[in-house]
Amino acid sequence: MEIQKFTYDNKIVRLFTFATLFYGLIAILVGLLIALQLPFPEMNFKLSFLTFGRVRPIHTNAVIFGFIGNAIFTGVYYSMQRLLKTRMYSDFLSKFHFWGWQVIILSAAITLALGFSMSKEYAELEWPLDIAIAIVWLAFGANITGTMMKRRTKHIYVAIWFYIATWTGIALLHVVNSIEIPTSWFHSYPVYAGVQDAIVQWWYGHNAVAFFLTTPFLGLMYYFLPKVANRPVYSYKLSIIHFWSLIFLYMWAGPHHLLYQALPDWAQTLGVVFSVMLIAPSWGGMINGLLTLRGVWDKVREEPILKFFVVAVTSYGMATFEGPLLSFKNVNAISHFTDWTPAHTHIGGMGWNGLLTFGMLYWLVPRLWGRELYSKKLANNHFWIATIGMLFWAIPMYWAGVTQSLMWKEFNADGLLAYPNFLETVVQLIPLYITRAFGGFLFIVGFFMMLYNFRKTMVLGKFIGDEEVSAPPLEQLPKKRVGKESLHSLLERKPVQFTILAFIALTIGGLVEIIPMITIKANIPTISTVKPYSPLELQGRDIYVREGCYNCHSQQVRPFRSEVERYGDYSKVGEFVYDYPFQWGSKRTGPDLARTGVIGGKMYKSANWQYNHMLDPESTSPGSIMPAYPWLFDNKLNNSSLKRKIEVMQYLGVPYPEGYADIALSDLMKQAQSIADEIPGANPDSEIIAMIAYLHKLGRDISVTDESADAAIELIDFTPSSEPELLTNGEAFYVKNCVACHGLHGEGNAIGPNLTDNAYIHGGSDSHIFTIVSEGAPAKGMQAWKYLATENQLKDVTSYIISLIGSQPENAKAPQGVEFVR
Amino acid sequence: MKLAMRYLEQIENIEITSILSFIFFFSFFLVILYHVLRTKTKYYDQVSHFPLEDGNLETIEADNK
Repeated sequence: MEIQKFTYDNKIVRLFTFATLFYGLIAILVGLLIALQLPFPEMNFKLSFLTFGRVRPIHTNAVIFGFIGNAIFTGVYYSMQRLLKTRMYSDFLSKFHFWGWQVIILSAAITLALGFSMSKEYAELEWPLDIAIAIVWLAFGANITGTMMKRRTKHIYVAIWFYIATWTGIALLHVVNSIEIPTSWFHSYPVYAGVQDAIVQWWYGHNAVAFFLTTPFLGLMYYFLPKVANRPVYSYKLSIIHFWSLIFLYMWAGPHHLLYQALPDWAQTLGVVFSVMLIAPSWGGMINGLLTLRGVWDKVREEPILKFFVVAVTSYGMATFEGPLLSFKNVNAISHFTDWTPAHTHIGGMGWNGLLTFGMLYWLVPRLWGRELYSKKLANNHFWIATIGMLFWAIPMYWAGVTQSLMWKEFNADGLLAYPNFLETVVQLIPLYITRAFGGFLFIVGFFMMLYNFRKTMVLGKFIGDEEVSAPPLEQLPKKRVGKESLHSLLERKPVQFTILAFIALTIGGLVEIIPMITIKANIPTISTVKPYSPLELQGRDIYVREGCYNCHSQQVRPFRSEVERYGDYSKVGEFVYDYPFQWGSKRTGPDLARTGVIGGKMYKSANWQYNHMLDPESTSPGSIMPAYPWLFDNKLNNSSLKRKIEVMQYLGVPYPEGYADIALSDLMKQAQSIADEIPGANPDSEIIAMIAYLHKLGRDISVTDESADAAIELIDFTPSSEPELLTNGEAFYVKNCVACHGLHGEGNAIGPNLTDNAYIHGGSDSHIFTIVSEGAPAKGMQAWKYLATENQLKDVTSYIISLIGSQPENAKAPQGVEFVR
Repeated sequence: MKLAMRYLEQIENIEITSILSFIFFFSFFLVILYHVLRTKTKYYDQVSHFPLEDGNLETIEADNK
């Protein structure tokens, strides 16, 4: 038989190994910084590029695309050559892929620090980098496809299927989620708005977890775990079944990130069902990995690499058990927006991705440098310190998540929020945040131990750049058999077609979910009072996006009593139709901001308050962990691309009047001046004014609906009685039904307004008062009592309420609404 | 695109998508299951040994015992 001599390219593997270690170090150091910023807000240093909202995306991007991405490529370039018995297709493409990727990650870190961000989680990068990613990804795809074409093996091992799924999946996700229209070199608007943007983003976000953090690592697991254990995978059949199930199910599970939010019910249900089903293929992978070690568990005691793998695969099992659990609506109601989410992601990120990468590198480095690992003992210690670090990270965060959620939802005996001030629920978590940072510190110590170990190994060994091997060439299938082969072997023989078919399959899966959401008008009931952003509000919104406020603040009030009580009316689909991009957020380190513009609402604060709060949060909210934003006060608002922004908005369908782009600037100046007039010493040209304008827009249009609805109710004539007997009846009714919201003596409380003063939200005449008692104001929480009481009861209780006016009870609530002179 | 959107917007009973996708997935799953069970054990034995015999230098293999 003919034997061909060729070489494996180890240089590209070495390059990616170095990049993995470099970005791994950067990512976890940045992670430690942001972990410390929560308990110690002074660590934001009042510098824009070191503030939490900008640094947290750097951490996530460095972890996902820098550390994990380079680890994937390290493993892929190593295993693919060996599984297919050939050198990579093109050394040029390998190098282009490597350097292109590193330039992108570096540019990402710089641009994110400077505030060029789309504020869509894990897809923050602006459009020039999105294009660069697409080009580099294509080069990677061409390289792996070419390698498959010139392979010397007949069959393709399952790990490579996972790599192909990774490539096709990410290509599809990246393109669909990054369709955006530039307004300048460093700014663009996505073509989707509000709920559409949300569903596209979380379809992307969830599947990025699937196709960047899961499938490639399963591929690595299927290659490196059998190698280190020196036995084949437990069940190859299982690997095929769970492969196909996994890539198909994931595509539909995205909406579980948006449960109880402004999303049609059917889409939420779809997300729940498919997420729950996902446990089957995920655990298929975990079981296959762990059972591969059957009979060699004694090796796990001695071999640190296997220890890393076992804990990594177990973490995968834990995270994928937790995932479906968190997708149940009742669990999600507790977990979402809390620290439970980061705990979940870090079991996956530190455990599954981190430890698997460490194990893989401990195996690779000695082989690339042709000598034993410098110290097995040190690797063992790294394993323990990393595992303990991960637990120190995650357990306090689970604790914090549950604590905060229960505090948010707790009511006292009077039916009021037990912790009405959000800050009370934040300060409770500070010790847990410190413990978490300590866990991160341990993880970093372990990382340095690994770096030292590798350094020593590399110095003592000698790098093998081109590894010489020999193998027989791939036998061509005889012509007469070609026609009769099965579909499976046909696809295996034609990798290009296989890749294309996999791509089509994924596309169908993805589009079936996405198309209904982005096209069906019925999914987005319009709300007539919701108006586009004014130019100043739009500029303010872009600053909100730039500063990454979404990292700590949601804009989504879920329809729970505790949330409506705390923030105001729950969020509706139609509110967000002009939001490019959506800013619903996924974490509430600070309170929800969806109702900060509802005048008289629970979240409304004056322009002056907002101004002082952003300058020095502790001046208005002692103990707050929010960073200060001094540069918003110094920076002059940049209106140079305002015209273009308005034009892009018009192109996207926002109904500004024709030619509005030309007069937008003068409108902006007027509004800025009127806001600055309310604040002593404010400069109308500064960015903070735009930010305040935006915060005062949030939810304002929704509250307008309430007033017009009031006007639509017909006034019922009423004259109060002063007969003592009727007033006693009225009082009895009042004590039984009204006290919870208006207090025992009509003084008002956190829910309802004071009834004894002369200020009124719904009008103050006798007839107005009777009408509101009878018809209610459902949007504000006032019952329509006509359905629950007799007409006489309504009259008596109204007379009683009117008799209370001017009684000046203790603890009276401050007047709300408009004064009425009696 | 606009023309396509006009037709897509008129899809009726879009809620049926969830049921269709479930059926779609489940039938696909059955096809895979059938295919996997039908494939010969010899193939699995051969392929699953790929990671173990990928031509590393013998000296390194010796370390790996």
